[in-house]
Amino acid sequence: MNRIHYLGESWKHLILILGSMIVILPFYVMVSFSLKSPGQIERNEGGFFGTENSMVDERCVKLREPDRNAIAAARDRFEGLDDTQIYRALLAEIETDCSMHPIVYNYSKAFSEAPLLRYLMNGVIVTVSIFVIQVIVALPCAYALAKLRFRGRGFVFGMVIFCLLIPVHAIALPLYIMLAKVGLTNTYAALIIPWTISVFGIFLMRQFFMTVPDDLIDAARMDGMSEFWIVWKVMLPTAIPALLAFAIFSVVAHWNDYFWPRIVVTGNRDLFTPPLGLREFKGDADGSFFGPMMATATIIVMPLIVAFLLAQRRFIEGITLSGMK
Amino acid sequence: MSHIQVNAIEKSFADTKVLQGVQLDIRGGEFLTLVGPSGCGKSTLLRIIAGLERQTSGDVVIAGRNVNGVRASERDLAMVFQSYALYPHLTVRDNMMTPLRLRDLSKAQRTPLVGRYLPGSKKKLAGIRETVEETADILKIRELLARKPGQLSGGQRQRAALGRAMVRRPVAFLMDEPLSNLDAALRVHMRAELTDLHRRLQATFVYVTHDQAEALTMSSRVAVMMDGRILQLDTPMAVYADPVSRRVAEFIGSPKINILPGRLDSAGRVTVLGHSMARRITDAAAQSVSVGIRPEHLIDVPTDSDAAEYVGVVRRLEHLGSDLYIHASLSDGQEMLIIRSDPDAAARYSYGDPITIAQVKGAALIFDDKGDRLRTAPKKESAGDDALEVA
Repeated sequence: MNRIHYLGESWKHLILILGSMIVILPFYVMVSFSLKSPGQIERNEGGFFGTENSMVDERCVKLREPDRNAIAAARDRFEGLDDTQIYRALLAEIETDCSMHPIVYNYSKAFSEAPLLRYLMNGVIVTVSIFVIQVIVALPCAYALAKLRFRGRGFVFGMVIFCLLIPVHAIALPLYIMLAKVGLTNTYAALIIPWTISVFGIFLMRQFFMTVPDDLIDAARMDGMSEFWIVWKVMLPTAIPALLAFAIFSVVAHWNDYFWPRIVVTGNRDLFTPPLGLREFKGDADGSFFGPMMATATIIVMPLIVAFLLAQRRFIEGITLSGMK
Repeated sequence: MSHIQVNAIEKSFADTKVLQGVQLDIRGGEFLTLVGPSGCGKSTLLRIIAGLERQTSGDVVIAGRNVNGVRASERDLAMVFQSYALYPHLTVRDNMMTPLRLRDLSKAQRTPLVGRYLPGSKKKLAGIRETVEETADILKIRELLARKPGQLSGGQRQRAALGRAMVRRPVAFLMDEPLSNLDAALRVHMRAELTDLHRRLQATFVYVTHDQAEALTMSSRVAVMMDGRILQLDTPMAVYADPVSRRVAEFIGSPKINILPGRLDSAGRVTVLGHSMARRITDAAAQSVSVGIRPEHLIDVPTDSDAAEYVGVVRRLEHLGSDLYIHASLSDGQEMLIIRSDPDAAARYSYGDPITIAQVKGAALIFDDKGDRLRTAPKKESAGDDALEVA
């Protein structure tokens, strides 16, 4: 009996372990690549951390390759050597100059090759603005749908549910055209406005508000609060766990979004969000930059992972919602 | 302290009529209880008085002012809810300060962060704080002021909710089943406290409950509601002893009143299970009636007793410590009677034993076939052979 029980349990765990491996593997590769030299990445060796303590930045060497003048200038230092030998000696010096630990190389490149800090700041501006406006819109909507009685409430809520079914990609083109017509492409507004009304947020908050006892709202009315203040002073504080869950959904989606910024931000690099920044490392004639690219990716996901770990308990509370009461 | 008039209030939700012309005059300073089974419309009536619900027709007049179009907060009433409805994110102190803040501070003074530095706020806030502390002292919850509702027990939350209602010194307190969420012992205790509080505040209390024990123990007057109507409005004792209809008699009193089928002849004589009753019904046509007898008006007597009226079999003994309730089925097997007896009787009876039952004379209540009460004529002295008859 017990053995059968354990067997059943272990199957579950096996499946979960497999599932988590599938999820974790790309992260493993990402972090590992960000720690290794290009050579080891290409040869697929060096384990997770990479074994080289220093590597030569070939691009750096290429850029500083000694020319005729440099060799002429260095003749005094290398007396008795011919030009080819001087060239080799100089090159060796430059190579020592240009060599560093792969981690330092990858992460410094991440910040120097592209204005990553600027991208991160853009990401913060966009995601925070989207979230704040979503909350400003969703809370009163959800309150009305959950707690106020008015003609057509069922219909309106039906429309909210219906809107949940519309994939973003289906309406991307019309949205883009509308933004282009009012001349908003290549602005923060283009990145923010299409996301300010979140039907998912309205739905989630409405479901949560349904669980808030009517008495609480009546008590607030008796105390003299207006409906407006009830939303912000009574409903908002009680809805913090649900809001945190929504925040994670919203922030993760828009921080990681590549599709929409790629459409509306065409030229201006100052508006790039972090995922767009990754494009800077896409392979070109100089060869690929997997190390710095993965370093950038690691830096981009780090804030999300830290935030998730901090809010993990609240997050699960928010998703299950039933555990609240 | 002020009186509240409810005039011909009707309320419909979609097709269902919840209140059908309710007329109620609540005197200033009284403790009036609206009692009735769930769904009778008592809570709706209270919410209409509070201004949380709009009546379909009719008027609510508070202290001579028609408040039909007046918002809940401006009616100067306070409400205590079954779920206490304390703001979960605020401390007890802030909970209690909220109604005063909203009433006494101007909009500008209520602005977050800056409001408290505006001229006048400091003094007003100090006044509010003082009121809150005084109220907390009355309710003995001063040491709880810094806690949040989540850290309080049921009884403490109840007190905090009362405190929030009291700070405003309202015209009247409206209470919607405030004790229903407490455990039995605490409920009995809070009953006493509420009665005390009412005496001390001398304020009008309108109290809604489905628990007839609460209604009987606390109120100055009780309004029994059923199907959106007030059936009877009287003192607790009058409602219990002199109910206007069978439904009121059945609702008030625990255990329930015994109802036996009877027959009324044209002479006004009532016959129940073969016994005729002494008292006569004045001017009523012959019809079938029901006779209500409260358990305390039935006595178990020795089998050979002259007073013996009903014979039955013991089906269940309910021992409450101070009282013993004997459930007996009558010999015809159809009717059940509940008899209150003293606990010693438990030794005499066990399941299946025969029992003979007598009835306290003059205590039976007679209802016609529609359930309305039929009054008996005052009993005549020395009415000859009638006096020999039982009951």
